[in-house]
Amino acid sequence: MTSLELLDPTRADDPRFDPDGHHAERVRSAALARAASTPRRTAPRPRGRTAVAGLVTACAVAAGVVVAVTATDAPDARASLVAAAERTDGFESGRVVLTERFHDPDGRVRGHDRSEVRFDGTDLELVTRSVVELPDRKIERRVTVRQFDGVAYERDDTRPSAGFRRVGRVAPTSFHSQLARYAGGEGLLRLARAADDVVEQAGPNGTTFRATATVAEIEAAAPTSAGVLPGPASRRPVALRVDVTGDGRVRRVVTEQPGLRREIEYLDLGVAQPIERP
Amino acid sequence: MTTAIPKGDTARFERCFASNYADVARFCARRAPTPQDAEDAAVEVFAVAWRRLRDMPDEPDDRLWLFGVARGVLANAARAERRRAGLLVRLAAHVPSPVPPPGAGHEAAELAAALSELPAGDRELLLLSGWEDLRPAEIARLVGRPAPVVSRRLHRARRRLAAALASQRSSLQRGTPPITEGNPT
Repeated sequence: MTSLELLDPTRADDPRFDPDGHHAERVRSAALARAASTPRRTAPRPRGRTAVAGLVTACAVAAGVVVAVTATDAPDARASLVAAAERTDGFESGRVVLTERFHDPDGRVRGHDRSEVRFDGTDLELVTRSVVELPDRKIERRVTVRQFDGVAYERDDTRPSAGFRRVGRVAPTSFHSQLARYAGGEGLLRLARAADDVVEQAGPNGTTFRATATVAEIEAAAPTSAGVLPGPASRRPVALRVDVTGDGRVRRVVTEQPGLRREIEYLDLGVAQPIERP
Repeated sequence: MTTAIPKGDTARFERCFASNYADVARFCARRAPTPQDAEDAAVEVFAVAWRRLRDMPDEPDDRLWLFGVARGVLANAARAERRRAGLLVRLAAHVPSPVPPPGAGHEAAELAAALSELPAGDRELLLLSGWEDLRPAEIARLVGRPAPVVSRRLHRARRRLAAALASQRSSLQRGTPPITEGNPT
């Protein structure tokens, strides 16, 4: 009999599974943020009620029910937003800054992180700093990831003398396409098409679009913007704000729900971002 | 309802995370369609762990409990993906057939093809045993079946896999590859 380990897609030395590595820290921070954005269960729910609630949810899901947004339809505003997102997605270089703040309902767990991505073609650099404050201590991580010529490198910036180490080869477009999928125009496009109540407001520096969407819709459009997998909480409304510059490019995307605020800023689009080989 | 988080809970979560992160992350990475989906599933598993810390058994049983949560999270995500893709919703557990890792060779391709011929339930039992190294009694707790039933099904699944492999090899020897490499589900 052939060993099933032959088909195991995880390598023994893969740094993603190091419990002290930055992937683990990212998972821990995101898990605490996600948990903080939904109420914590303190006692088992009665089984009967759980089963009924589960059944109702399953039926709604199976029927494709979307508990959605307010009903004011604004096709022109949505078309403008879609156009801005398409224009933004066309840039091959620039900077994207992602920030997040979260806290649990009683404020005992809170945190924030900031990631700045400079990208130029398929090369990029990601600098992340994340802080999670627990009741008894603070966890801070700083990591720089660089992708150059199809090779990814990583540096633990919390260690003063640490240098870059080679993580391995990556598909030439993997980081770039992930960026487009999760933080770029692609996700925003899908979201703009999904939201029903896009409202447009002109200002001195451009246009602001506001809409509400469910967590599930944002999750489907841009997973890092909502950070919650489909489930009962996925029907919770999230306020969405998109600032578009005077020349029609997306400048900022903000999603807000109780305990969780995420912001994506698009800067220097079209400006070359020299990425050095580590 | 929300209450203050006792200090001991934080320490317990930290212990649980440190002990189980690698296993949970691998569990998700082995079954999720993309690395991003795997990471997202691992995030959800530990978010659930934090929210339901009081329901979680102590070490070493917490590992199996987390696998159970991961199994549910991955099944939910797969169902959501199918809904998004407009496919028919099947509420049965979704167990994708593994695709050979790049450069894994001919033997792995054969094994993947043979495995893809098996029913999804058999495949899941074999992978829980082969990848997570779980004993039949542990698998039984995870999938919610009596241990003797799982033992029998596991035995039968191994026989079926051996037969499918033999069929693969004899077909290849005749020069008629029966199944192309890939994920048929």
